[in-house]
Amino acid sequence: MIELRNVSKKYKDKIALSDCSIQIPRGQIIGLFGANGAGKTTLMKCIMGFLTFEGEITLDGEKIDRRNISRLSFATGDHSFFPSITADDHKWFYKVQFPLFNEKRYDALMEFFELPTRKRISEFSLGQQNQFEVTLAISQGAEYIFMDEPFAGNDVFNREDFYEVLVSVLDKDETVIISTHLIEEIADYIDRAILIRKSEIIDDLSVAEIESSGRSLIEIVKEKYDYRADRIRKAVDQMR
Amino acid sequence: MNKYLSLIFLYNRAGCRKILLIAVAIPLCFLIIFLLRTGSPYEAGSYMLMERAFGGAWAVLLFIAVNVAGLIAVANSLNGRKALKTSCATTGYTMRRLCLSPISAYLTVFVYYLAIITIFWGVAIASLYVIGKLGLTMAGAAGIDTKLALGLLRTEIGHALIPIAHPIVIIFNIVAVLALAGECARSCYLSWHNGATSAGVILVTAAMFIVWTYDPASSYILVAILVIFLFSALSFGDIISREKRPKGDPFKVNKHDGIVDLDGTEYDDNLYLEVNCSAEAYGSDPEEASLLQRYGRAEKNRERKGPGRFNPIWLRRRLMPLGINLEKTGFFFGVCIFTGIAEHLVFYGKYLIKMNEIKSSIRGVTIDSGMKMPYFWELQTHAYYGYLIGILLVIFLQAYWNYEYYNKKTKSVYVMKRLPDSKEYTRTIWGAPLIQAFFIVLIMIVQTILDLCLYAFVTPEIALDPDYLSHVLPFQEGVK
Repeated sequence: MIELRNVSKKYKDKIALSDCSIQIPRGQIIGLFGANGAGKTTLMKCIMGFLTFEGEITLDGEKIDRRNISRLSFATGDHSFFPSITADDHKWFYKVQFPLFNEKRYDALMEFFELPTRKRISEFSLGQQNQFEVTLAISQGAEYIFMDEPFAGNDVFNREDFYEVLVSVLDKDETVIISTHLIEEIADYIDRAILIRKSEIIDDLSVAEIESSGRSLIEIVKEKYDYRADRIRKAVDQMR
Repeated sequence: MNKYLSLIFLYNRAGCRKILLIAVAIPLCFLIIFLLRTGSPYEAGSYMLMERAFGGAWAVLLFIAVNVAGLIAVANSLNGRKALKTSCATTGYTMRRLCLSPISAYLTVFVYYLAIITIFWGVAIASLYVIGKLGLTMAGAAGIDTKLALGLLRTEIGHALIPIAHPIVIIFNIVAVLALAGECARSCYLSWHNGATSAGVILVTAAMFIVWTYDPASSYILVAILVIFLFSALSFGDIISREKRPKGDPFKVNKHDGIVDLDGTEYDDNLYLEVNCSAEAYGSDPEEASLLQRYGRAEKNRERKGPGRFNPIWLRRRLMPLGINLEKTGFFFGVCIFTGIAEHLVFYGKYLIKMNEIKSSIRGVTIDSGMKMPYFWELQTHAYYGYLIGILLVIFLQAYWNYEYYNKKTKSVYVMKRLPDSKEYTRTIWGAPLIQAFFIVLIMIVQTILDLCLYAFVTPEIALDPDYLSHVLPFQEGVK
């Protein structure tokens, strides 16, 4: 289990995370939601150890460092692959570097996305690059898979198909933490929703809690974020 | 006119604050060096003050180093600010919307950068004059005395500090500043560097440093001019040829599918498809070596055992970051080796001059008294600066580029930092630079041995000191 205790992060004067405490057990698909700049990516990067922070983050009671970092994988919209080599070369690299690399899953996902294997990744379209990034993260053999806006730029059919595949392909003790703005699309696939607003975790809801509230996830999110439906009308009026 | 200004705005990567900071920082550095060397100007005579401030090799080196550092900083602030991912892709479109031809766009950016670099350089030179003049005034010099003392800056010690005195240095400076602006413009125009230091800028500024610290009468300056001129011509040629090539990898496509003369063909979607399909076909050729082989990481290299593991040529590639531009790193490595070898020509120059003198002094079996070949290491004075610069550059600059490749050009740092083998990240940043430095040291040793052979076997025995060998290895003297 990953456990965050009172995690805070500052970029110079800007507070990016403020006193965040959550627990991420194994075997869940967790949605991480929040507006742009809320702190979703920062939270993920702190867990991965890419950023310094205040507080404590542990994986099964131990600090996350070089010894256990390979139990986590990360698919990011920034793309962590090597653009000038081919997909096959990446496969080799992951096989050599990650002993638990799941080759079968990799091949299946490459086929599912219809990605070319002997073409440089830089020659892929943006959508294909996103798919490849996700494929690598899922096939790494990690127990906790973090995805930060993995499908920005992919078409809706591709995304929905992928969610189906993701749910079916994951082992029961694998955990996926997915940060996205596509709340409605992903609502049916997640077990839990964590809402971040202005650097603070404002809610942590299980599917059961969402269902018992009698409202949809998007309605809850809109309420939590004080969404004002009249702002569109105001803006349009101003522009006229 | 507006479209040219728009273009400059589009390509401008220099933060005004940064440029201003550099323009203030350089004169400030000059002033600090001046004050540190002179002490209180009120207590020194005018000539003594100038001698103290600007006399001696260290003073010259310090002032030149600051000036060169300033030029590198300005050039990098022009070509080096990290561009947004999208801006790389869209500047080309915007340029075409402005109805400017690629070459005229490149030249506009070039002129803009040339102006900024020249202004900066002017500020640096003017500040040195002002500091000298103020110091002299404080030292009590006036009128003709000040002029005479300031004249020092243009004579024996000054040519390097204010490199506008000697005609050949002026020509060199003009070529160098054009090359510098050209390199900045190329980097921006091709959106190559995304924050990286340009190897071209380093090459030109390294030549500036070497030339300014040399005697202006030296014929090596002509060689430097030639090298920089050729480099600039290649850079410019690169821009033109890139614009004429179709996208993709046309040369390989041509080779495999026999598509010829793409340059003369209208660029339509069908052709694009044709090129891409051919590129795919090329990529799927089973005989084509995997890219991994180029990076020393192919399957057959995986289990290297025995002495093969220490093959430095393979190791260098194996320890480069996966996917880095090997041509660029290879070119830079070559430049560093070339810098070392070229600067080492000083030894041969000194040796040949001395040999001519010796030959004209030999009378049968005797030689004019006092005419001797200097000791080996005396001839080697100043002959290793090039190697030293090469080694430092090849270690630190290459390591920086490797780091930047992981962290800025790509975000592969996210993978590298997750690897179970925690040392792989550090290894691939520092490994190859250290191996490259090892190669340069090896070349340096081989060249020194060649020098020694030349010195011992070609020099007439009569011109050699009887104990010349004991001076070759410094520790032998101690043993005696």
